[in-house]
Amino acid sequence: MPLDYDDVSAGETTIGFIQDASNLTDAEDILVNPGGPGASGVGIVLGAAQLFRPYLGQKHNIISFDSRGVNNSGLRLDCLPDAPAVAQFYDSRILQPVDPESDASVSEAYTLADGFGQLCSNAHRDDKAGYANTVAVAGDMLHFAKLRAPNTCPLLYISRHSD
Amino acid sequence: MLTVSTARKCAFYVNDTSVSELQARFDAILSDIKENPIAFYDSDIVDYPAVVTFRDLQYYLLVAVYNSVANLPIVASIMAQLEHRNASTFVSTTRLGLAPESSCDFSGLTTSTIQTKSLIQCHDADGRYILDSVDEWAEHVRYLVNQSAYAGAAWAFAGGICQSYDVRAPPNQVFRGYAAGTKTVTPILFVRNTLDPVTPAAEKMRRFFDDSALLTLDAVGHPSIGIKSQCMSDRVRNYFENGVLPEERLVCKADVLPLLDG
Repeated sequence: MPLDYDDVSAGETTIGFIQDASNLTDAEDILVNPGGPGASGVGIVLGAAQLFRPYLGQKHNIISFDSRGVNNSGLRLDCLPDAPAVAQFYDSRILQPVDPESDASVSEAYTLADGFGQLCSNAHRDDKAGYANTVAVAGDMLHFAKLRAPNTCPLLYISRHSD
Repeated sequence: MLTVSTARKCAFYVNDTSVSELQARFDAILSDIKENPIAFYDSDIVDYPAVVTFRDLQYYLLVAVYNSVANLPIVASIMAQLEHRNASTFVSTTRLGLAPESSCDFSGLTTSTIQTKSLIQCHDADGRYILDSVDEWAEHVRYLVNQSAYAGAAWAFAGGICQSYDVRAPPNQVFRGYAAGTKTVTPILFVRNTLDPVTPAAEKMRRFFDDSALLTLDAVGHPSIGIKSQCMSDRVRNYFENGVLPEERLVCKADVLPLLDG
């Protein structure tokens, strides 16, 4: 997929898609954005496609994907690359809820976020991480839809442009 | 409604006669742990003595209610134990007291979900809602705590995480909002739960889409999928298979209730 649909010179990345196919040969696709941000659609379809079937029926292929920066797709968003154990430990520090009744705790949590920003800016300042965002993911969904069914218009197309 | 026959299915129930009694016991445990955290050591469960604090409990409760049907029975057991200051199920469920793994034989996820989530969120924010003083951050925390005394402080970090991060998406990949009256080729169907701990925003979003519809599941949780409801699944399937929107502002009952079924 192009990193930027308005600027091919920005380069490309890979997006991992997965399908839970309908038995019907003429089935149409439902493309599920797993949200999060950062949730794994591949993981969700592997682990829980049967949860979607009561809602989506048997007549559609259920297709999902890991969005940019997630598991099986390109653009790694990793502030501590090659140190997963440190990252896991650091995440547990970040996730500490703040104590709203303590000025010291509020101030500490604020400073913790400052550290996170410094770490992650440093890790990603010179790479293409900024292309991992929700608008770009919407572009990937449209691009995928056009590749799968070149002659049909996706049902939920919304124009980004005011004209 | 609290009846003895239904309440017996809840591990937290003792001999309470009303919902407010149950809630008072629940709140008393939170206050107790806030004042007096619990030290826990059992070499079968932890590597080093864990200290169970109010903040640990608060974060656990927030995440648990994302999937209430699956998690509330465990919450009930944990709270029943904590009332007697027994933290074993809580500590083993939340994996407190475990030493960090070494990177050489690391067995966890090799990408950090919290870093991925936060950076995508910061790229989307594009420098908007930057809390660039402790006072603004404290104001943000107060705002959340006013919304929920139970869970407000638990997710507060997410609002402040972008303050010093300076990587940006290209300008053409920044979402600047929809105008009211936006048209889609097919009307959008918004699905929500009555009590969603993280994205209770369907009502706000649908205002931008004139011909959209709103379908509500009377349930606690973040995803609606996974909470069985024939009423919901019939409507959503009809939307995808036949393009038919449900009755305006329909509220569906769930076929399973946390603790009582399943």
